[in-house]
Amino acid sequence: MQQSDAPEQKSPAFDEPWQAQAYAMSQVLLENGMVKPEIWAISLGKAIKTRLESGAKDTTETYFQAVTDALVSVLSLGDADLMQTIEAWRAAYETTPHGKPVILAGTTN
Amino acid sequence: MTEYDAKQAAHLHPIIHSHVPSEPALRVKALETLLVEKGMLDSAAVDAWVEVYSEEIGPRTGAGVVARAWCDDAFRQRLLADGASAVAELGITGWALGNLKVVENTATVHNLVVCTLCSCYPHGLLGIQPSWYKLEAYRSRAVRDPRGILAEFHETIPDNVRIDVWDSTAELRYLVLPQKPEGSETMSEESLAALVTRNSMIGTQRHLSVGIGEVSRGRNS
Repeated sequence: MQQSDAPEQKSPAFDEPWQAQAYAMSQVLLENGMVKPEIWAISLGKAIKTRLESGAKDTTETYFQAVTDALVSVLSLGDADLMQTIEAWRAAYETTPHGKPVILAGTTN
Repeated sequence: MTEYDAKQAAHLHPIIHSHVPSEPALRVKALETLLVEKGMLDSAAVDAWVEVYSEEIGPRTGAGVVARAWCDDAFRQRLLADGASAVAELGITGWALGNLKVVENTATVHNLVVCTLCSCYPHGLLGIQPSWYKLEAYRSRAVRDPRGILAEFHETIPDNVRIDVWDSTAELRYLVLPQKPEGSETMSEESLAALVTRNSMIGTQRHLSVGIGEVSRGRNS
């Protein structure tokens, strides 16, 4: 742990908005009962360990990437579906002019 | 001399000004889309969670509980006996607080909270956990070398003070009840709450003093 991380005021919870969004999704799924707390803790612990063992640095970014890994795992989401949706969002961003809201065809978010 | 290449500029322009999010951000966005499509998640609930926990709760709720315990000994005893019921008296509830254990610092005992598995935390009392709480460096060393970790937080714990390390789980969360600082005897409960820091309720800060408080000034990160 970096000593500079220690003081209270130098340690923001999130470095980037996607991290807050990922963590919030996990907490809402726990609160609405879609994910069981004990299963979540095990899945997240495993996802963190896997990331670190594969060489990722011990950082906030790695932690939140593990949160998304654990969500994919615990909800049994298919990799193909996820990749397809990622590419659909990428295409939507690439083809939407600056200043216009980016909307994925067929969805409301 | 470099020459202007209109074709190359036209090719580069959209790349330079690309507003495509980073790969992790795209992945989270896609994940949310899939979960909403499957009816498992409401995007509005996600946005509300971020707003409430990062901007409203912070550690102030926990600080209020600590201040109440300092001012009301009967409440303090109920808090130590059954944390969840005692905080519910103050209207504080939440799924993550269903099993809450409050551990009290004394002249001879210091308490430190960690989640060695992942990052379990009493969100309803302390808001969102700080980044260091989630790192392997803290999670592994808090158990192995608590004095070393505390030294990194500029806290030297005397040898005659025992350090108890509490490992949070999905089912059981912990809150440290720090010692009331010297010189605060005549302060109001509200003023006392302003002295309580997030780190003191996790246990990475032992010594509070009049004038140190972070929480009242809205520092909840």
